[in-house]
Amino acid sequence: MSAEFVFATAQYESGDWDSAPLLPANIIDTIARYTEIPVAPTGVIVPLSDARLFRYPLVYLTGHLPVRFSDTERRNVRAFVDRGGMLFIDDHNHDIDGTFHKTATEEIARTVAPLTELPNDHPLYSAFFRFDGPPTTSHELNGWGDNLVHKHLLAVQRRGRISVLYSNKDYSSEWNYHPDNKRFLSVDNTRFAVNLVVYALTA
Amino acid sequence: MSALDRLRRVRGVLIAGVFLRAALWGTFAAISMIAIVAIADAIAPVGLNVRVVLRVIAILAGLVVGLTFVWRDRRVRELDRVALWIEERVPALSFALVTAVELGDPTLLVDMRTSDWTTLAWHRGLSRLLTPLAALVAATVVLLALPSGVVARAAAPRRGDSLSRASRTAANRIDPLVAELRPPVYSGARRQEIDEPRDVRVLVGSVLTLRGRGDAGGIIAIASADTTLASADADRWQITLRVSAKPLAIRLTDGTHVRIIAVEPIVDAPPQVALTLPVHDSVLRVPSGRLPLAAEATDDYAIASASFEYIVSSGEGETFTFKSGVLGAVHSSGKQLKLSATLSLDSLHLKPGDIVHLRAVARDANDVTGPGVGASETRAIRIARAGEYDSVAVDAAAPPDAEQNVVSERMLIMLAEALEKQRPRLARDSVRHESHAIGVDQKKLRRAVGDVVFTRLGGAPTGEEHTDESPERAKTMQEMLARADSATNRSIDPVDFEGGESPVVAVNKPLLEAYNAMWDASTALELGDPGAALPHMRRALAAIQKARAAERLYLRGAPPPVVIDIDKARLKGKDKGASSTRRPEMPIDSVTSIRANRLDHAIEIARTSSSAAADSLLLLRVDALADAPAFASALGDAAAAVRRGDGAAATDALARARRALVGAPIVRDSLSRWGIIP
Amino acid sequence: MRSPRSRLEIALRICAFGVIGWMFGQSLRPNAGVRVERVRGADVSARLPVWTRQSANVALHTELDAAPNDWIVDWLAALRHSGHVVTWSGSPPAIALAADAVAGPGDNVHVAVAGPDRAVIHLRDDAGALDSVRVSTMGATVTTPGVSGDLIATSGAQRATIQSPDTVRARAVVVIGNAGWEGKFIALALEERGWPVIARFGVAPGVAVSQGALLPVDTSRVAAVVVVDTALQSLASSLDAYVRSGGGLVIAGPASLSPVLATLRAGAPSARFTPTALPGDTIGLGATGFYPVASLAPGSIPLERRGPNGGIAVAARRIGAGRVIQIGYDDSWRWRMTGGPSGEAAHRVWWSRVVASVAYAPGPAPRASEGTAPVANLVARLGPARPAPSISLASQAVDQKILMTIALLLLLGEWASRRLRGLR
Repeated sequence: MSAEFVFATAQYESGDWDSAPLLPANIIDTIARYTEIPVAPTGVIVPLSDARLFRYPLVYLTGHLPVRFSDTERRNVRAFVDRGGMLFIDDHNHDIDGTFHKTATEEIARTVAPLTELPNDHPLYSAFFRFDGPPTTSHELNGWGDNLVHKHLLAVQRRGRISVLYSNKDYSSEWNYHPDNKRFLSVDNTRFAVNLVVYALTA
Repeated sequence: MSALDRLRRVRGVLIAGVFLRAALWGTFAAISMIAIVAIADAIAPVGLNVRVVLRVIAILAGLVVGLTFVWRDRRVRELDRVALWIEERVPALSFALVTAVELGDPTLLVDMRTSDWTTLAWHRGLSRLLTPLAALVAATVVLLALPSGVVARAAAPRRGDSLSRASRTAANRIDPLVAELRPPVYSGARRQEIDEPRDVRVLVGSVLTLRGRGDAGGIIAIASADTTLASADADRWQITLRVSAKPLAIRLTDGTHVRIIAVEPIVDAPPQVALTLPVHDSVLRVPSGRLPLAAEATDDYAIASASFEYIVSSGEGETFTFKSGVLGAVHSSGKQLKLSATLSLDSLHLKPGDIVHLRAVARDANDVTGPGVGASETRAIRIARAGEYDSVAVDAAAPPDAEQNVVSERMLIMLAEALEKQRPRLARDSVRHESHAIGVDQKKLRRAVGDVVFTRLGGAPTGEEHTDESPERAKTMQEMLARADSATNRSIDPVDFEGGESPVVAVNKPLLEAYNAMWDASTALELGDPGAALPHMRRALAAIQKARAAERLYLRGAPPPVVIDIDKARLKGKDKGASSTRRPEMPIDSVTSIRANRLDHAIEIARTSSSAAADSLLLLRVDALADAPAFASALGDAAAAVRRGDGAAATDALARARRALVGAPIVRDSLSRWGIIP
Repeated sequence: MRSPRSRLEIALRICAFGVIGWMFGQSLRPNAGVRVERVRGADVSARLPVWTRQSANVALHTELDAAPNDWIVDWLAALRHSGHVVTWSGSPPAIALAADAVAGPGDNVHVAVAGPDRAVIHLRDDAGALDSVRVSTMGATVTTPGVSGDLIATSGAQRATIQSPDTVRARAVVVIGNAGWEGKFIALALEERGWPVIARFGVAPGVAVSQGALLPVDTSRVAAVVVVDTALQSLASSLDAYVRSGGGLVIAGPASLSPVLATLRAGAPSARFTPTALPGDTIGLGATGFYPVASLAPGSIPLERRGPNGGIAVAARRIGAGRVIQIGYDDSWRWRMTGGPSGEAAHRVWWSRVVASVAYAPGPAPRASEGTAPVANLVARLGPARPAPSISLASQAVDQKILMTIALLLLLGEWASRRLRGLR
């Protein structure tokens, strides 16, 4: 087992957990581009119900469909967060009236604690690159979802540290492309992911 | 009236006198005991249990005394005895009456004067009643002289009668003290009263009323930041508080007198719900039919309602629509509930690719902190798309891999059991031949299971039999098992999956167990020993069933692998980040160290004042109830032991409390300076 | 001419005076061990006032199954100085106790108990029992979180006591390395335990995540430095002087490969050892491998060995006034995350203790209080155990009485003879 950072995607039973299959590679590429952090060249997929979840202290979860944790998944998520892990959840529907958001927030409230707004001056936004808040994505106003630009991310914090980070901004769509396509972008829209990983690795 | 009739009348009067006398003496005995208990209780308070027992003893004593007197005078039923008694008092009869009774000859009693006999009997009866009557009156006077509350505590002991105790010091109005607990109506729990409350466990939302004797002026209860004044109730005072979810230490004061009452709230847990039908997720080829639903819900107090909820997700890619609904709603008031319903798939107008998520939800009747909601696990029913591989697992459809194996293995077990049963009657060659035939089937089944395992790992099927001599093929069972074992169990590489593998590794462990067991079984069967094979076969069956019940499979394709060339990408980004600041984490043990200091302080105080130490421990217990239940529990024991002066029990409880708070010491059997490293 | 009877009378008188004179002479001569009084240990304190009033010709012998309290020993030593022969016998368990505060947050106390081999020693304080130890190599250590009042060690009837030490203020701990799970969880564990942490995690060239001011690293503000990997250039020039002046250094995992630490480490590391069979779901400390110490530096001691070849996973040494501990584990964070329900707390406690074992934390000198080594004190004051003196009280008593009787009889005989002769 090496000391590299490994990007982990959560697999859960109730929904389409793999709706952003290119996101892991993209983020890995971003980490390598901007930092010296040793990172594994491919990501892993880890079931929430599996004990191997605890090998990856930062886990990414997304989907469109309802999120309903099984008892084992709930136990694991709770223990994962208690021990210092961080769960990053992104609503791939970017719809606060949608079923993913309603069910995922309910599950997190039931499993960990209710989500609250994360202030935009949180250290997460200055962990590597400077942001004034969560970067807006090109999908938030694309006609689908709730058509809102969400000004805040939501989080569950334990003694001042983020243990669950929740996004309505559809970073899953924003970052779900092959890293080679970055060359077509004038501004790399995955930079916020560096903040996320650096925050997780140091906070 | 004849002499004999008169005799019988006299006997009746005497009998009545005996019973009356016995009753009076019995009553006197019982009342005396009650009076003695009341006086003893007035001097030194007697516990409730003891008073209940003494009351029973008083009643029994009365009965025993009465019966004793009846037994002593039992001969009064006999006519000849009565006759003798009359003869003693009327000498003029000259034993004619006795003779007549003994001989049964009433003619001897002709012309006998009998009118005095009844009078004699009445005099006798009344005179014998005087003494017990006088004693009873005296006992009653004594009882009446005692305060009514004191008598009631002895005659009708009950919880909460401390206030009726004789008062020794009128100055301290918070001793004695009674607490009345009225749980919320929805819980169905009964009201209870507690004498001398120190440590009370009560449901959140209950009304706690503290009562004492005397006027209410100047009596205050302080709980957290709230101060409540006592109100008057006849010759008593009372303070009423509502119990919230936060543990409380109520400080009750009356001038310089202080009492601490710890209140531990019992939180109403949400209902536990288990969805019993459908048993597992399914994929349906045709979205029609009726799906039976069943669930069970239990609650610690009362369930208010329960229902099934469903969410239908339609769409694919980035476009999804959802609709949801509720069915089978029932209302209840009991602690357990079974609900059932039928979901008509036709009514949902499902299309290929749609997914129905089902679960059962129950709400309890908690109207204090809001109804607790419990939900079951969710089942997903997916409608297969056209052209997509599906396994159908509902009702009459073909069972998936594991279930086919279950049917086969079960059949093989039945065959082996039948053969083993007939074995004594069959020839050795026949047994071996039949056993071998079962072994062949077992071997085929084992290969089928192996195919399932290895296919899921991305390997080729029939890895055992392939004659390819390439080094990748396992040559022996051990090698193959080791490969499969290492692939399923461990991963040296940080990346858990490669190529097009499906990430369902967790399910393979039971199937691998089944595979191993089948191997052992087929070996025994080939040797012609079905009896030795049966335990292995049953183990294989259990493992397959475990695989069936294992984590549900969500059959979707694996994402296309993209491998990043890290070295090529390293530090190629145009933008540069900036250094940032990390915020310090708060100590997790700061509360622990504060509590440890308070515990030490309480132990210090215990040397000089046990009541003060007990109060300190009680306050610390309230503080720790929410997040350190083991510590709080040990403190409760310690406070009780300190209060009653049991040094050994207090020491033991304090040691337990300390271990629960700060952990056990670490011992190393060497004097090394580095010995502090655990 | 004297008659024979007269001569007999004179002889009787001379003999009587001779016996009296002999008794007088004996009383003048200091005779050590003339009379021995034996008591059991439990009765010594009651007899002391009586012994004090007795003359020095009484030898005092006690049979002890436990060393008495120090004041009793002092009294016996004073009797010895006053001329009494004081001896003792028995074999009380020779236990001794020492306690000092563990550096760092919390009230941890490190207790060392010494005792005879295989002795069972029970340790308690005012709040109750702490633990029991069976001595195997001269003694044992108990590290206990929180001590209330005095510490008491008992073995059989023998008891030793010591006052609990004052707590020691925790200075900051520096955690330095590249951004990664190991550094993150070490800093987290230490902070959760109450250590103030100064952190620096390198992220990119010239970019780091910091907490607190890293420099200067000196013992006035830093108790220990934890180096997680080879990214410690900013401390390269300060570490040597810091450690030699008393600072603590923890070299974790691949940090031992850094040339900056070559003179400070406990030994040169070899290639990382990775077990062939990797752990399953639950991963404890070191289960995934470690950097073994290949060759120990002079003065280093191995603290923990692991692996099929017994490789040194943890080693320590002193350098100047400071201490260095070298830990081969590079992913102890897995213990916290994947070590089961108790892994998180165990990881936290372990790292706190590791840092405490090297931390610079000067405190008040340990109190040499009475009762910490009662048997040693007994031997020092009264000498080793020896058998009681051989002269018995009864024979001495009989001699004196017989002599007096003889003297009286002689005088009585002389007087009777004279009176019978009619003389006065």
